[in-house]
Amino acid sequence: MPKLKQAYFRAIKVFKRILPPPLLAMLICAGLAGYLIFIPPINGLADNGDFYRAMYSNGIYKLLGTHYSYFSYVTQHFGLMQYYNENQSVIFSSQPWFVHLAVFFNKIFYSKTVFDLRFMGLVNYVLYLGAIYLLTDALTFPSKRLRNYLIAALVVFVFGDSSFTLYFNSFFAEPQMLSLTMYSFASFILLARQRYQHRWPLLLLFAISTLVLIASKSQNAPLALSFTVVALGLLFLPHFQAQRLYIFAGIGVLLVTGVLTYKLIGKDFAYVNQYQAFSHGVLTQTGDPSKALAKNGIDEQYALMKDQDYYAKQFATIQPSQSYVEKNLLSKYGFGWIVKYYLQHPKQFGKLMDLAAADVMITQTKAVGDYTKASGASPGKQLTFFTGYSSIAGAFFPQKFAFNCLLAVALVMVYAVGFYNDLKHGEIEGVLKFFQVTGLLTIFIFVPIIAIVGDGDADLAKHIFMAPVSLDLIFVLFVSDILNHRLWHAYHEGGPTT
Amino acid sequence: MKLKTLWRWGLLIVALFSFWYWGQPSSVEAATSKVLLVYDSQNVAQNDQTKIAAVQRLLTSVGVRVTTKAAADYRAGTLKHYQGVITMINWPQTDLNNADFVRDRQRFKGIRLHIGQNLTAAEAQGLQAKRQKLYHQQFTLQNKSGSRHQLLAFSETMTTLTQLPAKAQTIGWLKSQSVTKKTYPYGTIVGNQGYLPYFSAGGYSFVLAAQTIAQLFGKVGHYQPLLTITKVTPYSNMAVLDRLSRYLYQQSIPFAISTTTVGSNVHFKAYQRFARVLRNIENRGGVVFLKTPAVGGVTASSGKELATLMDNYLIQFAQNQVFPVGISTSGYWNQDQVYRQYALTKADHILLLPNPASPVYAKQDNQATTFKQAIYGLNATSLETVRQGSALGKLADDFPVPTAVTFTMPNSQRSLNNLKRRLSQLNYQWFNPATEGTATKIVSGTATFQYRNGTYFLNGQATTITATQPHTKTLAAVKPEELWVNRFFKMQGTVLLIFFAITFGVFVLFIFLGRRVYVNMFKRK
Repeated sequence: MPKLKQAYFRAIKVFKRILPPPLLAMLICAGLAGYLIFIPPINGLADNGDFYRAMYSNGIYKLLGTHYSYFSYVTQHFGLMQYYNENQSVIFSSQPWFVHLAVFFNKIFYSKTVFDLRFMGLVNYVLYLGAIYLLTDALTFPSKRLRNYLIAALVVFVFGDSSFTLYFNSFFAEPQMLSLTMYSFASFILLARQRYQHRWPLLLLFAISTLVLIASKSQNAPLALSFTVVALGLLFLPHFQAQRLYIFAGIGVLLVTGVLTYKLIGKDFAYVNQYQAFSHGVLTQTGDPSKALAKNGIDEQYALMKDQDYYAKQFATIQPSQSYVEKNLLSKYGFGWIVKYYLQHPKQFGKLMDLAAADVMITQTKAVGDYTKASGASPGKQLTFFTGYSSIAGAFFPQKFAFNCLLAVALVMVYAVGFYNDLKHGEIEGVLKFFQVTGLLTIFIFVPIIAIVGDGDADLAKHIFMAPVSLDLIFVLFVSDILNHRLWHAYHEGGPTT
Repeated sequence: MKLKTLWRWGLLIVALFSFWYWGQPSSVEAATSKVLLVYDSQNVAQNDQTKIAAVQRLLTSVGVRVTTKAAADYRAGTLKHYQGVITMINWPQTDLNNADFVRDRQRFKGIRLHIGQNLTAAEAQGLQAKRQKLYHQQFTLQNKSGSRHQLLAFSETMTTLTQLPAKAQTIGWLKSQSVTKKTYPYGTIVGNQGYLPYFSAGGYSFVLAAQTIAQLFGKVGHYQPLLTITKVTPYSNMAVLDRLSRYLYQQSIPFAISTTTVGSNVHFKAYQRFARVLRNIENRGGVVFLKTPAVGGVTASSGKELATLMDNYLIQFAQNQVFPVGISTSGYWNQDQVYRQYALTKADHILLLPNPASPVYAKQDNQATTFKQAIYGLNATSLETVRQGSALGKLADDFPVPTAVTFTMPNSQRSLNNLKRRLSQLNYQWFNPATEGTATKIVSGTATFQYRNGTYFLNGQATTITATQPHTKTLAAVKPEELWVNRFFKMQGTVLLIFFAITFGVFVLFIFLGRRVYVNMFKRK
């Protein structure tokens, strides 16, 4: 009997050595995502009208002679321009780097004229798998317990969810944002747990992933502030004096990137957001906005623009892109006007925030289909394979913004205890974790607010993408901390010692 | 005495008969005019696709059903199904490379019209005339007496006809600006064959081209233009629109407006105001054309949505006593199967306006249909600013096809004043739909809108338009039955919120108490 037990323990030991939790999590995610995005009929996200931003400036076009489907079906094949490309990038973004990489691989391994969307998927896939590995490693290091497999399973359940991996086969910037956030988070936690002898590789990874993340989309500009909160934690690193210069320089670059990303938003792009902040924000969640508009210096007739998209899905009373609207409406208000309006109408703003809260955990983009036309699926059909986490979170998460605020306060208080304890004992894990969690919570709270003020409820689920990612990261961190008894203080080998 | 009466009667009969005889179109009238318009190239580089669109609109206004094809897409034998063929040369530098078409056209017995350059020898032969190519000249287009004239832009080449047969009809003359001052015919009709050396969508050229085409197809008429204010939207400056309609009413000028509308948010004050201004227009001798919406990302299956939207527009209008007399639209809508079927055919009166810069089709088929009346929208500027020529607006001739002279909606007092000034320079006897027996009909879903002699009929019943907001029965909004699951989740949010708030309060209290207990432990008693 003891022999059997011995054999059992040996087997487990071997298993742990061959398949440590990070590797296991990565392999399972690789299988799940690979099945979705590579095996035909492939799955992905259909074009919602935004793909052109990433396509034309990178030399990709809709193949002629084929019916290009918006919203309903995923398009797998695109054309690659052969001659001089006159299309300039419409926005300042780091996303083209990834698209370029995909085009590069496509040209080497597949075709010089036809682009297969799966190469975009491949680039996102590789980036993502590395992030999964690092994240699981960060959550489990340095403990060697069996329950770390539980943490790995949780990572797979949360971040292997198809609502995230579907994004890979698309020209959206979200898949890179997801992976980069995971890199940024994991490198910071690994720093906190002093994973490697040398600190600089992790610092570098943190800096690069954060910078690229902020630059990937103009709406990420405000994240620079949140990540500055996170980076402040680095000031508590031991031997901080020696690296002081680099860290302050890093924070400076972070803020400059944020400002640049915000400042370099294209004019057209800014108009879209400005228009929809009005038609999908100011005019909604209220009875008749006519009077309120007139009071704030805008012709009351524009109240009739309620719920209009900048790019009409099918038909519209007026094309918002025409100069008439620019001259008579868009020139009459700006960000300041909208903020002032919401301050005067707090009830309406509260309703809008609850609307955002209702969407906060819905990560699957319901507006576009997940299947190709060739698969025979109905238009706009939604995938249900491995969407357990997003479905449960979407259904059960309370739909009140006030709840989110309370939750944030509670979480900050919990991690503040660890901060206090570790600071007293001269350890850094709890300190850095506190800054990481606080930074992520500012994303969780402020991203929905910025989305509403900046773009109304249009494409809300996509605009607040960073909010669920942040909360998911805090969630897995919280659970792993409880499982490894390191919530209130730094990890000590052999369990609780306090 | 009796003889005198008889004599008078005889004279009257002869006069009537001769009048009827002369009134008869001289060319062959097609029984069901179905015409094939064949063009060589859109020539987008020169923006000449607008000319094709203008010819299409013009033909619809004339009342012939036009199908448009690029010459390259022509298949042998297609012409058999048509009563007329129009060749339009848009890019004279290239050849019309379709032998099938050239052969079929040669054998074709119906009405033939050539617009633009590169008139072939065979076509000239059909016109029983000789071709003459004129190089590097400037012409004045004028009528026979020279009382109406317009200086044309310098032309590199122009193919004109000489040695016309006696039965040839000439519509307008091209007078060379060179020393010779020779004149050449512009619009030419010989039997059932016609020729226009060039085409322009506005100005005197347009008027004469329209007359040539209408006459060739036996549909020429005399129409007073309809004054039309275009690009009105619910977002226009309502105060200015109201002032404009009052001004036109005071000046006794009948008019029309072409407006888009919204199908939702109709309970808003803004919509009520919009409807009130439109009712005022109806009460001030104006009529309303419902403009088709702007197009975004449509597909061939957008038809149902379009039909619902149009019905919704019309019903909301009707509930507010706004009764459109027709539908106004960009010309290309008539070239699209979906737009035609689900929107345009609801009305029998259509106002055809120029195309936007980049038309978006749902299902383009280029098979325009005809309507009881299709009015050609002609921008007023093309009648005012005739460079070195007669101001057509001042001369105020009538038009050979139903025409609307259009002004863009002014959006400030300044542009309103400008419009008034421009209007005062036009001497037209504006068409008045109320007095001239216009009978229009729109059928939308279950509702029928009719307009006869200035009276509006809704579902056959005459309606008086009140100045104030009509008290229509507003249907109570149908509330979707709330699922218990949804109710649960809505409840759950609130319950959790309260729970957390209480817990949070207790938590803070405990910290406070705990701290006091802790501090008291160290206090000396």
